Amino acid sequence: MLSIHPSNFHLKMTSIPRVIPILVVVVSVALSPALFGQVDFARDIRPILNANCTECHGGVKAAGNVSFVYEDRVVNFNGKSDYTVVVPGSLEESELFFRITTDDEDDRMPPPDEHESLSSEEIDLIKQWIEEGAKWSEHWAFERPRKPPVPETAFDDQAQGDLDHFLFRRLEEERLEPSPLESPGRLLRRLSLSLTGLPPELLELEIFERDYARDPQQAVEDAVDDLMSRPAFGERWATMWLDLVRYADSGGLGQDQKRTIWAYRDWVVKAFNDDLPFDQFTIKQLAGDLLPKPSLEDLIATACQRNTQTNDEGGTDDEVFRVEAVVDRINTTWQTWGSVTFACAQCHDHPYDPLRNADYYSFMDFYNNTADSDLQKDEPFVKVPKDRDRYEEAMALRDQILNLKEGIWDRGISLRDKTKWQGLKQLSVKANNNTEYEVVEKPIHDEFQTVGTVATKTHTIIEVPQTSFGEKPVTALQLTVLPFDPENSVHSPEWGFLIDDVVAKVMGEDGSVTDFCFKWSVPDVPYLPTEPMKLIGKNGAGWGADSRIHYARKLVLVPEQPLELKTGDTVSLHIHCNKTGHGSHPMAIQRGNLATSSDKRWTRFGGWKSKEYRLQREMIQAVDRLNDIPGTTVPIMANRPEELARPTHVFERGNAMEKGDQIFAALPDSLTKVARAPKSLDRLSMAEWWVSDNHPLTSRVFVNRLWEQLFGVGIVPTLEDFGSSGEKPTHPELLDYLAVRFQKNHNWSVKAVLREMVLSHAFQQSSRVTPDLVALDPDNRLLARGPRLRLTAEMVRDQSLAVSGLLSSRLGGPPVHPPLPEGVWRPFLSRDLWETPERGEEDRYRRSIYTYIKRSIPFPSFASFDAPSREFCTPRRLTSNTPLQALVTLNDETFVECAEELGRKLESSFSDAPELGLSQGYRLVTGRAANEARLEALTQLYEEVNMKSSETAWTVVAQVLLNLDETLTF
Amino acid sequence: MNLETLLDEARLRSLKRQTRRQFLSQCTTGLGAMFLAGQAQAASGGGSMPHHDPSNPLSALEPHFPGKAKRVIYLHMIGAPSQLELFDYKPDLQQLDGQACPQSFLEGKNFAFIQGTPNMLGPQFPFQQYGDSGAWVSDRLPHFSEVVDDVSFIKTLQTDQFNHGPAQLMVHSGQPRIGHPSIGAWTTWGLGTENADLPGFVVLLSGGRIPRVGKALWGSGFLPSVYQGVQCRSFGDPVLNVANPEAITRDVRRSALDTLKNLNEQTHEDFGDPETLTRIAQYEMAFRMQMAVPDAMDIEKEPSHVHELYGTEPGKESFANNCLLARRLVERGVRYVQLFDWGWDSHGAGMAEALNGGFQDKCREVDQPMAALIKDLKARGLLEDTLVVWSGEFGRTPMRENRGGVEMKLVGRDHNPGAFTSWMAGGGVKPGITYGETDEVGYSPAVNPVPLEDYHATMLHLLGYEHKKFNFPFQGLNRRLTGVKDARVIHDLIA
Repeated sequence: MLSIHPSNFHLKMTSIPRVIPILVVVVSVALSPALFGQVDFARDIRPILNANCTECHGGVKAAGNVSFVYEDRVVNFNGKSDYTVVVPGSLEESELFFRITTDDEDDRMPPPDEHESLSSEEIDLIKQWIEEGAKWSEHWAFERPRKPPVPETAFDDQAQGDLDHFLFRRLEEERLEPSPLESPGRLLRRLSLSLTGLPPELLELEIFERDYARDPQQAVEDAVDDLMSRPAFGERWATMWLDLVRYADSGGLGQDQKRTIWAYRDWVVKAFNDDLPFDQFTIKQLAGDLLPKPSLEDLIATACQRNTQTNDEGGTDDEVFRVEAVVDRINTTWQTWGSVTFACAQCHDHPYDPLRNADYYSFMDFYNNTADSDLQKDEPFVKVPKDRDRYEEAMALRDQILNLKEGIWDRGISLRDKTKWQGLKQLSVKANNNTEYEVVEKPIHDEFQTVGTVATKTHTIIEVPQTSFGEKPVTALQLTVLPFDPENSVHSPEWGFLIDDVVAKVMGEDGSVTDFCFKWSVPDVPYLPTEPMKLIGKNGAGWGADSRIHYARKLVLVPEQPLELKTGDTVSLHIHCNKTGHGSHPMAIQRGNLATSSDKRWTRFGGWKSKEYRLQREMIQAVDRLNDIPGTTVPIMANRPEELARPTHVFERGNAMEKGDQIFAALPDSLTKVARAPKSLDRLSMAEWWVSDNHPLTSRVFVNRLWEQLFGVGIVPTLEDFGSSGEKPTHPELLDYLAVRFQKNHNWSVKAVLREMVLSHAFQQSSRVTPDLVALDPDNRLLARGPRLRLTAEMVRDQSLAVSGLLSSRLGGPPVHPPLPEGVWRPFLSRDLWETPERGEEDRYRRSIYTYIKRSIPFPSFASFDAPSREFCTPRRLTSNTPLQALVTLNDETFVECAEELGRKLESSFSDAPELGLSQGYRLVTGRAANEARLEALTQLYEEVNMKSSETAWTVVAQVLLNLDETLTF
Repeated sequence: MNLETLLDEARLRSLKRQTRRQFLSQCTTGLGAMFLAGQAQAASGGGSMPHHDPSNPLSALEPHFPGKAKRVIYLHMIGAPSQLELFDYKPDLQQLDGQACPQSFLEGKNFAFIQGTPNMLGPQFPFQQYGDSGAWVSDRLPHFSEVVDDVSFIKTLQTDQFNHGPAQLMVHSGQPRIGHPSIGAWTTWGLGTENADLPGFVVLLSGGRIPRVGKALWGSGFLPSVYQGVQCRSFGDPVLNVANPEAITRDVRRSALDTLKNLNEQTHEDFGDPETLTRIAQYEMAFRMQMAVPDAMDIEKEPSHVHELYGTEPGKESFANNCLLARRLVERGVRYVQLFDWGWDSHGAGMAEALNGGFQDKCREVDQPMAALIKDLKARGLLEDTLVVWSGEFGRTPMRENRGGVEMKLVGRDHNPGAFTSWMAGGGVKPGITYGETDEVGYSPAVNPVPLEDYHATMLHLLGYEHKKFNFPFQGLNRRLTGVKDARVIHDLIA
C-alpha cells in the first residue's frame, strides 16, 4: 500500500508566490548571514566579482593587470594605475572600494555605461571584507573536504543513517519534512533498477515483502547486499562510466571503422563487480602500463584513453588527429575525475577558476608521449585471451617476446655503437618514378634529398661506386633517414617513411649484375608498435617512421657475405617505399645518407651459430605460441622510447599549428597547494595524484556522480562543473561527509558508499509529491520526497527483455547486433555488417551494454531515450520525453517481441484466470498490486481486443503494461 | 579566441539572470527542469533562452526579432561540387590550362591528394549569363539557369577544413568535431515547430550511404536530444517505428492508448509527478504522428504536372523526390528540412567521380528538381518566408588533381577550403545578386570573403536571431553556432 504524504508545510505558502524557485531562495539565504557574521571570500565575495568584474578583470582579460581570479593580482597588488587594488583593513587605500563607490562616472566600476552598478548590499559586503582583513579563500571545490559533524534535526527518529541528518537539516531550514517510506514492492523495484538496472521478479517481490513485514531494516540490507553481489550490478554501473570515457566500438570520423576494444568494456564491468577500489580503478586506467610489473588487466584498463576518435578518411593528417586525441584525453581526464572545465584553459587562462593557460600544456606533457598516433589499426594493442585463466600465460609470453626483442636489439645496437662508420660519397640517387632526388656534398658524407613533387610508391635507388668504399670488404651498411625539414619537424612532425623491401645488387663494369641479400638489420629503437621494427623482408613487414618523422632514424643492414668489391663495381640499393598515408601521402624517403663499415664483427653477427640468431628463433616460437591462444585484442597506452620523446609546446591561442615555448609536465598550482604534487612527474604519478590524500576534487566528484544516478540530481547539480561558475552544492556538508567517508572510511569502495546511500531514508521514502512541493522543488533537490526517475535508454530495453523472460544473462564478450529498423544500417564501408541473430538466438537478447556502438549510426532506440553517441565525455544525460520514444516502445521490433513474449507468458501461466494474469503482469512491471480500477481497465481492454482478434489480445495488454508511465519510471 | 565576443557575451549575464530564473521555475516538467539545470550551470547565459511550453518542447516560439525566414530547406551536395564547373566562371583559368601551378598557390597549403606541383585546369564546361541579373551558370544546369533571378550567390564561402567529415560538420554545426548541435537543431530549439504532428526537423537522404559522419550532421549535440533531426524515408517506414506492428490495427491501438491514458492518469493521481502528464501528451502526439507522417510523405497524391516539374518518380529514393517532399513538409509547418545528395567528390580517381564522368550525371539529377523547388515554392507564395540554401562542404582547386604525384587518366580537382559557392533563395534574401568575388582562378576570395561563421550568423539573422545572444551553456562556455570567433551578419545579402 502507498503511504500518504503529509502536506502540512509549516511554510506560509501565501507569502511566497509559487513562481519563486528554490534557487533564488538559496541565493538570498547564502548572502544574508555574512552581514552579521564574518565575511567569507569564497562564499560572499567571489560570486559578486564573477558576476560583475571578472569579464574584464579575470582569466581571459585582465584589464590594468588586475585579475580577481588570483589573490596575488588583487591583495596588496598594484595594477597598471599604480594604486593598490585592496589593502587589507584600509578602505581609504583600497582602490577597489573607491572604484565601486565613487560618483565620478569616469572612475566608477563596473563602467556605468555598460553595466549595472553593484547593489548597496554587495558594496557593504566588499566593505566588510576589506575591513575584516581581506582574507582570501579559494572556491570550495579547490579546498580539501573535511568531515563535518553530523547535525541533529527534529526528524532524527526517521533517519536511517548519518546522511539523512544532513538532508533533514536542510528540510528543517526550508520548513519541509521527509516523506514516509515507500511501499516495499516499489522499494524493491527502485533498489533493483538502481543497483542492477533490472526489475525484480515476481517471486523476489513476494519474498521481499514477506521479509520486510518481519524486519524492514534487515530485509532492505539483505536485498541490497544480494543485488550488489549480482553480475548485473557491474553491467549497470559500467554504463555510467562508459559515458564518461566515451566508450564506443568504432573510431568516429572518416569511415568510422570498427574498433575492437570491448575487452576494456568487460574490464570496467568486472571492476565494478569486484569492487575494485576507486583509487586503483583510476590509476590503472590512466597509467596501468607504467605500474611496476603490470598485469594484463592493468594494460587492458589503459584502453580507457584509447577511446578517442580517430580519422581514417583519405587525405587526412594523422598528426592533427593525434593531437586532437591528446587534447581529448586532457579534457576527459579533468571532466571525469575533476568536473572542472579545464578545456577553457586551452586558449587562455580560465575565465573564473585558477587554472592557467600554461597549466593546460604542462598537463599535455603527461599524455604527449604515448605511442598511438591515429593509425588505422589502432596500434599499439595487446592480445587478450578469451579464457581468463590464460591471462598470465599471455602476459608472460608478451614479456618474453619483448625481452627477447630487446636482447637481440641490444646486441646489435652495442655493436653498431662500437663500429667505426665511414660516410659514403659520390652517391648517385634517383627514383623509379617522377620523384627527383638531388645529392648535396657534405664533409663526412653525401646527403640526398627530394626536389619538388614526391610521387607515391617511390623506390629510392642509390648507387655507390667501389671507389667510395675503399679496399676492405664491406661488412655492414648504415642508412640514415632524416626529416625533410629537420629543425621544424621536431615539434611539427612531417609525414614519415616506410621501407617495405630493399633490393641490393653489385653491378660490374662489364655489365654483370650480382644480387646480394641482407641477413640482419638493426633498427635504432628496440620496438615501438607504431613504428614497425621488424626485419625487412618479402612478407611486407617493414621499417620506418609510421606515420610521422621528427628525428633522424637509423638502420644497419648486414649483408649475408661481406662484399668484396672489384674496381669499377657499383653497389646499388633499391629501397622500396610503397605505402601511402591515408591513401594520399607517399611514405617515401625525403632526405638521407649512407655509411659503410668493414668491421669484421658484423661478419659473424646474426649467423646461424650466433647468439642473436638463437634468441630470434626463441622469439619466433614465443610469438607463435601467443598467436595460438584464442582471444581478442585491445588498444592500450604505451610510452614511446625516451630517445624519440616528443617535446611539448604551448599552442598559441590554442592553435596546434602555432607552437610556442617548450613546456614540461606539471600540475596546476592552485590544486597542488592542497594536494601536493609528486616529486617525479610522469603519467603514473599524475594518476596517483588524482587519488592522493588531500585531493579536493576526485572523491567529491565521484560520490556526486553516484548520488545523481540514484537521486536524479547531483548534490552539485552541475555534474560537469565544480568550478566557480557551476552551481553550488545543495548540501555542501553532506558532499564533504560522503567524500571523506568514501576515501577514508570505505577505502574507495564503490559498493560501500552506494550501500550507505541506498540505505538512507531519503532513498527509501515515497516519491509521491504534492503540487506545492513540485512548485517549490521541481527537481527534487532537497529530497523531501523519494526519487522518481525515468529509466535510462539501456534500462528501458533491458527491463522489457527481463519481464518478458527473454533477457540473456551472459556476461561480456564481443558486441552484439540486436534487431535494428530496416534501412538504418548504411555504413560508409559496406563490409561493416549488422547481422541480427534470429528469434530464439541468445545474442538477440543480451543486455543493452553489449550492443555494438557505432558513433556515426547510434542505435535508434537508445538515441531516442537520450543515450549519448559517445564522441566525447558525457558527464550527464539530459532526460527528454518525446513522441518518438512512444513509437519505440510501442512499435520497435524488440519491444513488440517483448510484448508478445510477455503476453504469452501471462496467458500460459494464468490460462484459466485471465484476471490474475493481468494483475500479476501489472505487479511485474510496477512492483505493486493493481487496484480495482486498474484491473477493470485492463480487463476491459483485454475483453475488447479478445473479441476482435483473440490472438493479439495478450500482446496488446502486454504493450500497455510495457508502456505505463510507472513502468518507464522508477 | 576573440576577446570582444566573449566579453559582449559576458556583459549580458547579470542582467538576464534574475528574470530567466524566475521564468524557468515555472517549468516544472522535464524540459523546464532541463533548462534550469542548463542555465544554472554557469552564472551565465547572455541572451534569451527559448522558453517552450513545459509539456511540449517543440512549441512554436517567436525569435529575438521578427525573422524574414520562417523555415529552412538546406540542400547539401555531399562531396563538394566544383564551383568552377557550375557557378564561378573563370576565363583566365582557361588560359592557364595545362600550365604548372605557381608556387605561391602551394606554399603553406594542405591538400588531401595533390602532391608537389600540379597543373592548372581550365573550366570544363561553357558558361553563359542568364536572367536580368546576368548570373553566370555553366551549361550543366539548364533548368537552374531559369531561376537565377530568384537566387543570391555567395562566391567566397570559406572553411578551415579540407577533409569531408570535419568540413561537413563545420557547415552544419560550425565545429569540425562531432558533438555540437546542427543548425537544424539550433533552429528547432529556438523556434519549435508549427505542426505538432510532424517532427520539427526532418532529414532526407537521396539514397545510398549515409554521410560519413552520419547522424552527427543532424545531431542535437549538447542541446536536448528532442531537437535532433528525424530522418524520413521514402521507402519502409517514413519515420522509424511509425507503423503499427502488422497484427495491431489502428482502432486496437486506439483502445490500447485509451487504456494507457486511463492508467497513467491514475498514476498521476497517485504520485503527482507532472512528467506523467507530459508522457500522456506525448503518446497522444505519437498517435497523431502515425497518421500525419505517412500522409506528408506520400507524394503519389501530387498531380502529374507537379511530378513533371520536379521529375519525380514515386517510390524511388531520389533527390527529386526529396525536393518535392521538402516542399510538402514546409507546407505543413515543418521548421527545418535538410536534404543530402551525394557523389559530388570529383577527384577524377574513378569514373563515378570525374568531371568528365559522373559529375555530369549528378548535375542532371539535381538541376531540374532544385529549380522546380524554387519555382514551386514561389508559385505557392512560400518562397518569401522559406529560406532555401544550397552548398557543398568546401570548394575544389583550380589545379588538376595529380594523386600520387602523377597525371591521372580522368579529370578531377582536389579539395579547396579557400573558396566555394553557395546560393540562397527566399526567406528574406536579396534576389538576383552575387556576393563576393574570387581571384582570377577561383582559388581564394579577392573581395568579401565569407567565413562559415558569417554565413551562419546571416542564416540566424534571417531567422530572427542575433547569433551572439543565441547560446547554450556547456562545459563552461556559452556555446553558439557561430563559435567563439567574431562573426558578422552579411547585410548585403538581406533584402
